Amino acid sequence: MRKILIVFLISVSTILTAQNIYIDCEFDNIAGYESTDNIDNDYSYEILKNERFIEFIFENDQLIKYETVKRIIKINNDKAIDIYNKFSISLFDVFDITNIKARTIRKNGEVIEFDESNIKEVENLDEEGNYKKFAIDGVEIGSIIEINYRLKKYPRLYGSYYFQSEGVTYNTLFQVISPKHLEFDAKSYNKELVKTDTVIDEKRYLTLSCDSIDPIDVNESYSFPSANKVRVEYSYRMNNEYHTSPYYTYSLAAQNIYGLLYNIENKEEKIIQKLIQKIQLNNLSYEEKIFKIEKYLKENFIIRPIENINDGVAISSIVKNGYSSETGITKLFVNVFKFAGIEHNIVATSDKTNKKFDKDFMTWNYVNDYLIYFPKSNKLLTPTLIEYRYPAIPTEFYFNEGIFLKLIEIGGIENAVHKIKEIPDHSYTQSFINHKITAKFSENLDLINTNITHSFGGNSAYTIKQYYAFLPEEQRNLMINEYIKDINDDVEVIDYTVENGDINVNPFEKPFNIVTNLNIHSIIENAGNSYLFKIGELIGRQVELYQEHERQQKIDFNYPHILDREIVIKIPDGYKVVGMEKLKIDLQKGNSDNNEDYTMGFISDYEISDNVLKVNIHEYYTTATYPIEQYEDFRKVVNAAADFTKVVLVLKSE
Amino acid sequence: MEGKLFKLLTVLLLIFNLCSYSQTDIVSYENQYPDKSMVILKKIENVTLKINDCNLEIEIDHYRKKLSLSNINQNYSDEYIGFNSFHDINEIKAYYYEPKGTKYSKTQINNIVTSSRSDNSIFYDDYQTKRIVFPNLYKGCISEISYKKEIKDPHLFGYFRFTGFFPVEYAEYTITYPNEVNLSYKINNDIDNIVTFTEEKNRKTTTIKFSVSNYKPGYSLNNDFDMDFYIPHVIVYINDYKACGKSVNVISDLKGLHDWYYSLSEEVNVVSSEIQTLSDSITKNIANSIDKMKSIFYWVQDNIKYVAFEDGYGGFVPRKADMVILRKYGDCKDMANLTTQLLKASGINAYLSWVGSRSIPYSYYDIPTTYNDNHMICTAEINDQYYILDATAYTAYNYPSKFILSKEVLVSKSKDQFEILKVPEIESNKNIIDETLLLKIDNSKLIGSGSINLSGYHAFNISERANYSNKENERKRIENYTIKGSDKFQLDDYKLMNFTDREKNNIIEYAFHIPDYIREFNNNIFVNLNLSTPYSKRNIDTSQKLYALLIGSHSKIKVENRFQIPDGYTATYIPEEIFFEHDQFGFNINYEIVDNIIIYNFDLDIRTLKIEEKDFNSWNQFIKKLNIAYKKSIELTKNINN
Repeated sequence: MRKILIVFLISVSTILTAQNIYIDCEFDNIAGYESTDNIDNDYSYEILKNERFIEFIFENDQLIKYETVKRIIKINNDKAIDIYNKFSISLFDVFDITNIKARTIRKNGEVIEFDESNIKEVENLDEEGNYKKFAIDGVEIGSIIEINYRLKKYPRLYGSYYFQSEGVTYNTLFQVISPKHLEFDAKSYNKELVKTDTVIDEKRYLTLSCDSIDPIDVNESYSFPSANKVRVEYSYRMNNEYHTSPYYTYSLAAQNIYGLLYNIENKEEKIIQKLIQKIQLNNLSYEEKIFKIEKYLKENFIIRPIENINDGVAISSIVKNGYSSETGITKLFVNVFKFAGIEHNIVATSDKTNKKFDKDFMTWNYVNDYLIYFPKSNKLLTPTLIEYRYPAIPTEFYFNEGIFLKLIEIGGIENAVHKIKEIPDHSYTQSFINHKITAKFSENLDLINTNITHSFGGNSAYTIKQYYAFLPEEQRNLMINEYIKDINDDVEVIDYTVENGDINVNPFEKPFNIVTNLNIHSIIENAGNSYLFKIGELIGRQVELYQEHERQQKIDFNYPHILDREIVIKIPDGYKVVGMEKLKIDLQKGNSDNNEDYTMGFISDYEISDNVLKVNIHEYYTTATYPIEQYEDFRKVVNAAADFTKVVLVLKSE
Repeated sequence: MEGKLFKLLTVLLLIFNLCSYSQTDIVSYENQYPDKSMVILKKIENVTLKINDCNLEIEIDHYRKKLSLSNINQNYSDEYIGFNSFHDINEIKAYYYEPKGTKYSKTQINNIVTSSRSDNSIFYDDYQTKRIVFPNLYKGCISEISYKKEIKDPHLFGYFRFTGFFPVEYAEYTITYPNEVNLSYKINNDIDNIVTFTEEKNRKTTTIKFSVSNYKPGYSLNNDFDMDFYIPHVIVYINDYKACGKSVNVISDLKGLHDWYYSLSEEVNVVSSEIQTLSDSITKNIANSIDKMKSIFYWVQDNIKYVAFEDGYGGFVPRKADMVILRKYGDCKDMANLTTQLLKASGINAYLSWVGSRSIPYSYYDIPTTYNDNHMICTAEINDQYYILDATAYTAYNYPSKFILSKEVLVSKSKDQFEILKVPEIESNKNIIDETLLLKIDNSKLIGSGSINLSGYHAFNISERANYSNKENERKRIENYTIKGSDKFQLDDYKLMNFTDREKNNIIEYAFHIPDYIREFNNNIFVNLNLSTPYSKRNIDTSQKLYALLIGSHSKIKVENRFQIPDGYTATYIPEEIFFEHDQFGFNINYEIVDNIIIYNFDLDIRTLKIEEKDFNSWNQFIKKLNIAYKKSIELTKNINN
């Protein structure tokens, strides 16, 4: 939780003025919102009104924030009843729920009012904070639910809301109401909303609105629906009685982050020095030092929920207890790097699968996640996740920008400067899931015996390695066995070994390998004297992409990568192979912006000599995002692998 | 007096033992328990029952000490104390021991975080957890916790598990109770006789002790069945006690359990005028009792949504039926009570009933306690026939909810009368997937059309309306259900019949095509007519110790594929008949040619709810033979003259 700078918010002229909450919580006139029947809709529910008001008011010199939510929802089927007959309200930042009004209007007009005494308090739900939960009485198909509530909140000066769901939304309104000297800004993403900013009497009204928002399909494959949903961000900018230019800027954020992470006491500096001695960094290269520090800190400190927040961020508590909060561990990391003389930047950014960093709109929401960047190597580490190791970071930070903050010294005094830059990623060839397959047929051709090496390199290793590394032995065996057996229906595992399974081994240099020896039975079918060898199935199950309706979102997935497969198979003596031409596929698509190279493709080819058949497949995606116009091409490339799995060869006796 | 001194000495001994750290100890534990990341050194629960102020007080002293055998133990370092509104947790003490040279350093742990948990099936309950946050327990580190738990209702006491999945060096459960208290106990799953029992009678009290030493549970983490089916544990229950001259019954026997359940539900087990009105309107113009029962049962299923609020006695006492109608939601108790009252109002005998799901192994005859059940339903009686009515599931009136098949139901017929019924298993010929398809080739595409006829749970599963949100969603669901052959399957058209009628077979008529399904080489065409391959991956991994394989319900799968041989071709190979027979399961696949049609017949029958260890080998042979059959294709050859 960030300390909010509430300095300079109070206006001289409004100190003694009593302030009233402007927005009420009263019920609306439903008749005005009945959806018209001429829309052929198939939606489970329709949101007939979705209004959110943020009011900043002074109460006894204290700035208080009131959030009022007013919604009207029409229920069209059973699934909608299951969604909307219960509500959970997070009490994060909330002092109190001052008002709650809800009612169900049945199809026949009967109104069932909600009984506030039915509200249940939930303490610290899943360790994420307190909640209030309640169920709404009387909901059935054809009902309309109206729910209004007001929260009295800690005056956090920024926030965001999603205004798009799987049902259609009409009459969207977002409004920030503040004393006129306090200026806020708001921006809508993924749809233009009508924006106005007016001052009436002593209050300022910043409004965004929209008549209707289409539903979003959150199940579209290869998309980031959270990032693509219609959303509003708002943030304080300045007090126009004190500031002449915006105050809430990324510069302010940078300074604040600098203070939060680097401001430590002298005695804590000594603790850090002692820690550095313990880690023993003599005679190591720049990168070796980074590896060693990260290994030490991640093996000796864990992130845990902490009752007393200060214990989580004070260096002395952290080192004593062996655990910290996320901010605390980041603080520990950067101070160790600083006092060990290792040049580094703090990067503050966001998870782009949820919200992409926007350099043109400052809000704290875009700088909540911390990474550490090393300019000498142009690589990063993530301080808060013990399952990652330099130079890998969770892929949700790539293809995104952030604030890069570095320490400087001016006249013997330390300070920080910042730059907004793209977060560097790795070449697409460094992330791969490759398969090396050698196989031979059993004597009576009822199974093939095969050695398959699954090799996970770069970012791809983090789809499996951390689960392996942190599971107890017993569960590891189960996990690997399940993975290996998934290749086909009737797999007999003879044995396997795992290479480079230690979490401290860098998968960008040494891939995580599962080397297996298997018998696969169901890969050969027979029909009389012929044998059908389903060679395509050797590469394992592949994704098949369909598109039932027109694609809504651009293509996004986690990281660019390649998938190479090499198959070497000995054809049994006395047999010839028919159908090998199906092994040749050449499908390459997409163009990058500045040249004619393809950006995605599936190429496979074969050769046969001395009764040994060799097949080579190269599948690649040079980027992790493709424009919506390229969806059909993308689909063809993705499906090419699935097509390959269908390739069957016939073995006929000569 | 003696007891207390003994305890003090034990504690001192523990401290002495902990002062020195020996590398060889760790090695010996590692040898004893290879590939285990933790060893429970001591797990102790000492229960004290006391009569105080005319009440029975139950207090439990918990103690747990564990040793880490792995450096990467972040996920197992913390300790958790679960509790709900019937418990008071006090005096939590936690210590962390870190090896330093040849000694241990001891640190007190103060970071305790209390939280509630979210659960998909329960919207709100009063269950909470206290998480005692430890630093990483790397190899050689020890964690130690102790706390006191007070249990406020004597009906809800008495379960001790010697260990879960970690091996345990010593586990002990003692109960010290005054002469005024009578109790019973049962030791479960002690196949290898590892539990030692002692009883010590003193002048005013008795102490019973159950203990286990050096136990390493062999069962795999991958089991379909809960630990209670195979891990040794003890269940204790209080029969009665004397306090202030009065004798208070708790649970002496099955009757005692029924008495208590009855008392909790007595107040709501009434027909109000609103219920009467609703019942009359639902059963208007219906004369037959069975039909009345059906309409009432289906009304509750269709109109009341399942939302579970469980806190305190709310977890045991159903809400008034009037309230449930107003809210249009309720949990299993609410729905059971509403169903019961509506039936009573229509003149049908109906009774509140308790039942345990299939995840509970106990029988009411063995252990008449609250551990036996976790669910409430309604039982109707018409003409000496009983009907199990569980409105929380979407089923026809003659199909109990799947998760209670084969279980015992405690039916409360009146204050003094109760009965134990057994839920039938529902035979396989009542749960059938019956598919008939016409198939033909068009280039390399396989084109098919036909229908799937579903009965029983197969029908309820696919037609439950709450799963559909719109037309597109319905199509996707039907496509996912009918997909066969390969993942290039495309559903062209479909029609649903009887999907709103629980009692008729649900039918999906559909047409599809599968591109690239046909394998063509020179003059040969190969087609595998096993378009669906059920159970192909269900073999049991006997290298792991599994208790049993769980089967959802008895069922039959029947497939008839009629494949049209294309013009200019002759069938040069059709596979021979393959079958497997066992008293609990079997299959048969055969082919025949009639004119230019190849008829593929598949029959599979499962007649059990679980496959036990003794049948694992037979089952695996069954699966293996199925897979051999699934690999067979038919071969067609082009006629020479064409």
